[in-house]
Amino acid sequence: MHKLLTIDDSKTIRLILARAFKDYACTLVEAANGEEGLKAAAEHKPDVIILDITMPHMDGIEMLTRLRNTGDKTPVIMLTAEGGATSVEKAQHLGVSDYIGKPFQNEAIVEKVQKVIPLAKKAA
Amino acid sequence: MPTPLTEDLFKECIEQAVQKVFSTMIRKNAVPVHGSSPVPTTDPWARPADLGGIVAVGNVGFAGDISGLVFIYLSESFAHIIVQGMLGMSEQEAAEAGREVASDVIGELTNMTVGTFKNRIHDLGYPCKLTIPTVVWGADIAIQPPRGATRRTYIFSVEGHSVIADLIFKED
Repeated sequence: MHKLLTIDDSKTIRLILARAFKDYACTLVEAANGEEGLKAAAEHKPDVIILDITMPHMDGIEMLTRLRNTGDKTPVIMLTAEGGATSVEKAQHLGVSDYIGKPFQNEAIVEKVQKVIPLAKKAA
Repeated sequence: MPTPLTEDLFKECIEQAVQKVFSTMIRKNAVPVHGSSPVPTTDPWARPADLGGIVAVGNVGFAGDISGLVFIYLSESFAHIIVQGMLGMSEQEAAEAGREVASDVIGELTNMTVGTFKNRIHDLGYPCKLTIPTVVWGADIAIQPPRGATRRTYIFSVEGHSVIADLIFKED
């Protein structure tokens, strides 16, 4: 069973993602900011991280920088409203696998994850 | 060299942002009803009839080469419809979820709208970053822009529900 870690301060986004992946063979772990995300990444060893940029306490760019500094190479997909060219370039330098801007459709985020891991639908 | 920000460009950017967010997240069309080009003003906008009671006001700012605040106003009843649409809830589930969940949903809707608007402005040559969203609820909420700020107000109709995007820019 694949494991996805979603890091976003918005409970709404975490609920939307839970709904998007409910029919897929994966478990979701949630974190509300970069600090919680780092702990969750170390504890749960996810297959993919879906990461927001603008968050309180520790933002996504700082979290990703710290994660990479530990040698962790978990694929990261940025899911953010902060989509200016500068932020996207900065994220790319940190080895982000893909990027999706908010607003987004559920199918789009599932498709991005499936490009990184072979995520299949749950058996009926 | 940054592209000069004309009134038409402001209008185009905010219209595209509001329309994209509502069509993507709740599959509803937002139709601009503010006329051809709102004139910058410091006066408050005329409140549409359906925003006469309790309203939710989402706010996200942006700071950088251009700085400002965007407030999104909508009625409490429309906020509950948005909760249903974004979270896939029934009317009853949305009502039971309460104000805390509705605030988070309206905060995220505002974040997406201002983010889409801001990203366009950013790529026109005005780099800036978003702030964390806040949401307040109440009747007769009126935002007074600080002295020297310019206000632009845009009104949309989403299946008969009014949505106000109130942009306040700091002038250098």
